[in-house]
Formats: sequence, structure tokens, C-alpha cells
Amino acid sequence: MTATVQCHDLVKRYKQGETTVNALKGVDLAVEAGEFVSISGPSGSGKSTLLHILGSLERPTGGDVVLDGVALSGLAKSEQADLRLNRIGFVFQAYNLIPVLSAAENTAFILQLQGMNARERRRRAFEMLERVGLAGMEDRRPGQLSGGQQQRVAVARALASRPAIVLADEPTANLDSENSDELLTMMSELNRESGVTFIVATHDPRVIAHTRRHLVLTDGRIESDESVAA
Amino acid sequence: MRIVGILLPLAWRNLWRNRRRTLITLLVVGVGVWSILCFNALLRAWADSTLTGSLKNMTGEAQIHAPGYLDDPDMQKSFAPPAADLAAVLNGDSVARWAPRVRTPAIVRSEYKTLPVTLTGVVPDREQDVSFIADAVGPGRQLAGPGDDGVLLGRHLADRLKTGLGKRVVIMANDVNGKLAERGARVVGIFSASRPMEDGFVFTGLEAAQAFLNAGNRLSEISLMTARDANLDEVLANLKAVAPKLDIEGWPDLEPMTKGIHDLTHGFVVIWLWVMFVLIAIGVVNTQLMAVFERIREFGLLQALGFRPGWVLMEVLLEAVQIVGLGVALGALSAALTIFALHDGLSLSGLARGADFLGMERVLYPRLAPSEFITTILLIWPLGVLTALWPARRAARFDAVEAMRST
Repeated sequence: MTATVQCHDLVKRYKQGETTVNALKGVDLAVEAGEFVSISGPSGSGKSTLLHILGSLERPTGGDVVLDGVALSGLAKSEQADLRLNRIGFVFQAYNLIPVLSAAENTAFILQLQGMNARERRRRAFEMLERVGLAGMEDRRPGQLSGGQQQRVAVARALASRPAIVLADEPTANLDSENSDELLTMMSELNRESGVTFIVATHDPRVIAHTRRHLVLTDGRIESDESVAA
Repeated sequence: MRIVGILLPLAWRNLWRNRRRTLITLLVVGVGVWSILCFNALLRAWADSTLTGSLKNMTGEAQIHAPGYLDDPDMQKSFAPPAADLAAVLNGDSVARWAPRVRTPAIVRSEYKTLPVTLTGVVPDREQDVSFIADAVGPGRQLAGPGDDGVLLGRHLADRLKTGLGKRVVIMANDVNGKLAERGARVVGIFSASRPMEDGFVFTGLEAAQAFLNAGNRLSEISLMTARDANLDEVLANLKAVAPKLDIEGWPDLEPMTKGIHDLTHGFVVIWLWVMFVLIAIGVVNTQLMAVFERIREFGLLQALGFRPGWVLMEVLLEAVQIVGLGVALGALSAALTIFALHDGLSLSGLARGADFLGMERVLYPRLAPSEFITTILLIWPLGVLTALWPARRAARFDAVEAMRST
């Protein structure tokens, strides 16, 4: 298998006033294509920071990251944006959708930015919304969808452009258990069907139970890295 | 361009997320543009009215005199009637009307009072559209012709002289030889005009005045109005070419104060434009800043999804393009309707004394050329959009991660 993500000696330090916070202290990580990985750890352990660096939203203080064959160090801001647009899908904890766009338009938004023609992106958006169980809700705006439905649209959007990797930061944090289970089952199925790599940062044991590899991050270091029977 | 095509409808929808704020911004921009255009039209009408009134106060658009007459306007500085070359220009297409005059300082005396005036000999018909006297007589009658030796007095002068219609007055002036001439004349008409005109002028027939002043057929002044499309400077140049020994001057030199007011009007319009523009800019910047700070997380999300910083900037600017454009269009349309509604004139009858004092006509005709409409729109629209550059740059500089964390 080929590694979708490779990190070597990843370090991230933040300045907070006079003090320096070491968010990551030399993380080495390789994630193969098609893996479904969860990263857990206490607050401040560096989960979100790692996810942001993998997603090219933040630059590391030291170390290297190669994502889908692209070395992230040295990329210009516009190149980082292009990488996010074309190779990475994001699902955030909340506020995932653009409020003025319908579910179908949100799903197709990245395809539109990528330059796909209107008919094809509409077809793809409808197909993805059907796969996440939102057929018939294509024209609803985010305000007309429940939290769980909004997260499903975010997953549909993240997968619609067929990225190399989907990065999800606490995707179930604002959902009740029923909606969480539905979303996680759906993400597992999509991971298996599409072969897209998923990395999920989470506190939620239910999320960990759905993934096939589990990393525990403590004080900016990987404390454990275990494969889980799916 | 593809990105503009994506961002334009997105920007339009974003505008209407907060209808009240958008409508207030539209109102600010629209009222601002409306006031700029209407103020411009009214000021121009006022300036035109002042100019027309001033020109009709015996100035005309240009005057011809003997050398030195303007410094010492007596009959010794008179000139012969126009020779063929000069007459050809005066009767040509570039001159709409011209009026020959005799005009000299004089004394008018009634049984009760003696007052200084300017005795002016005119051909009544030729004064039409050149000076006020053609339309200002009543009670009494207009001068019958150039040979009419009756006199027209201003209403206020007649009051001051304690004389009136049908009574006789005595007029004294230096004749063409510098000798004092004196004759009695009957008041055949009373004219109404601005106070300085009523007090300062006594009119009689041109030939009667020439005879009284022993001037033969000599003139002291020709006043003229140019044709509608003629250029005053070109007309003056043509006149000077055929009459190089005469003083020929246009109204800007003859009436520097009127010229100053006319020029000042343009300055007022420019000042008003900038005052209103600053208000519009404050409105646009304020609403755009609020809109940007309300959507920090959204801009973070857009950047996380692959928006380049330049696209965020473009998105905010396109919102400004649309809201300012719509406001400018509404303001321009309402200004056009307002000016059209006033095309029959805005009566100043309630301000008649003030209007007379300022030498204005009593009805203003607001007008604005299409080019001025377009110029204002082309100035306000892009400048209004440029003011949104500040909030747009703020939005483009948000760090995606920090923006997503903000509440």
C-alpha cells in the first residue's frame, strides 16, 4: 500500500505571551491509502494541531509532511489553498456549511471551484446526498436541516470531489448518540466503498469503535498506535 | 472570470442575509447619490438663473465699446455704427441677437428730487432676449421705437423722485462734445426689475438719445447674445478680428462677480459630492465591516475548503459592487424622476425679494446633462466599492484556523 500521509519528526510550538507551548514534540506518522484512523487524547494533547498541519491549514515549526505525494513545507498560501481544494476533504465540529447555499449547492461547491460543469456537479451532488441519506433534501438550506443532517451534507461535500484524504475534527461533538451512530456508520461505509483515507480527531469512544486504527496523542507525542478489528 | 461567476451570485445572496442592514445601506447610498445629483441640478439652475438675470441686466453675453468707455463711460467715447465686416459677424449665425445703445451718465430731476442715473437709448425691439427692458414695462407703455423721446423709469426710482406715469422729468447729461445738454421728457412707462436696475437706469429711444446728446448716429455700446451652440470665445475672436480698434469683451470680464459665482457653483457641487461621498463611504465601510466580523467563521471555512485569500477579498468586494451599484442606480433613478418632475420649473415666488436681490429669475429650471449623470455614477460606484477594500482585506487576512475557532 502507498502512504497517503507521511509525517517525520513533526514539531509545533506556539508563542503565548512570554511562554512557548509545545503542541507537537516530534510526531512520526504514516497513514496508508484507504485507512480509517482515529486520533484521541486529552484536551491540549495536539490532536487538532496535527489535523490542521496535515490539512495544510497550519505550518509546522519543524519536521516534514508529505500528503498524497506533495511535500507541504515551502508551499505558498495559494498552493496550500489549491491543495486543500483538490486533495483534502474537511468535516468540522460545527459550522460546516455555507448558510446561503442549499444542501446540493454546498455539496457541489468544491466541484464548482474546481471547474466541473454544472450538469456533472449537480449529478454528483445529488448522488452523494443520496448516499448520505439526504435524498429529497437537496434544496434545503443549512438552517432548514438538523445538526446531524448538516454533518451528513459536510461529509457528502468532503467526498464529492473524491479527495485523497478526509480530515474530520470532532465530527460528532454536537450530535446526539443516534445521529452520531448514523453518521459514523455512514462514514465507515463510505470509507470502505470509496477507498478514501479518513483521519478523525475525537474524544468520542463511539468514533474510535468505528475506526480501524487508533492513535492516542499525549502531550504532543503519539503514545499508542493500535490497529482495531473493524 | 470563472471565479467571479461563482462569487457573484454568492455575494448577492450574502447581501440579503441581513435584509434590514442591506436596505439601510441602500438607503444611505441612494439618498447620497440622489442628493448629489439633485443638489448639482439645483445649483446649476441657480447659477444659470443668476447668470441669465445678470446678463439681462444690460450686460448681454458680450459688449462692444469705444476704447476707454468702460473706465469713463461718457458720450465722448462713442463709436460709429457697425461697418460692413462687423455687421456681417453680428448678423451671422453665431450671434442670436444684438442691440445698439447709447448709454451715458445723466441726472434726472423731478419737482422734488434730483438723482444720478444712466441714460440709455435703446431700440425696444432689438432689446428682446438681450436685456430685461423688452419685457419689464408696466404700468404705461413700452417705447414706440428708436425715435420715441418719452422715458421709462424704474418703479423705485419713480417713487424716490415722487413722480409717475405721464409726468415730466428733466434729464441732464454731457453731450458728445462734452457740453451739458438738458431736456424735459414725459414718463411714458414704469418698469420693474431688480432694485439696482430700477434705481440706476432711465430708458429712451436710441435716436432720441442720439439727438439729445448731439451724437449723430454714433453708439456707445452694442450688447449681444450668442447663438445656442456658439462658443463665446470664438465669437469674441471673430468680432475682434473685424473690429480691432474697438473694445470687445465677454461677460466673464464684464461681470467678474457673476463669473465668480458661476465658478463657485462648480466648487460647491464638488464639495457636496465629497461630503456625501464620505457619508456613503462610512455607511458602506460600517456595514461591510459588520458583515465581515459576523462571518469570521465562514471565511475560515471557505479558506479551509480551498478558497485563496484573493477570492475572499473578491467575495467581499463583489458584495460592495452590488450594494453600491444598486444604491447608485436607485439614487440616480430617483434623482432623474425628481429633476423630471421639476422640468416645468421650481417657483421662487415666495422668495421674490431675495431672488431679485441675487439677480435671479423667479423660476429655477433644474437640469442635468446625461453625461453628468453618468460621470457621477462612474465616480461614486467604483469609489464606494474601493471603500470596502479595508473590510475585504481584513476578511482575506483572517487565519483559517483562528477564524474557525472564533465564536
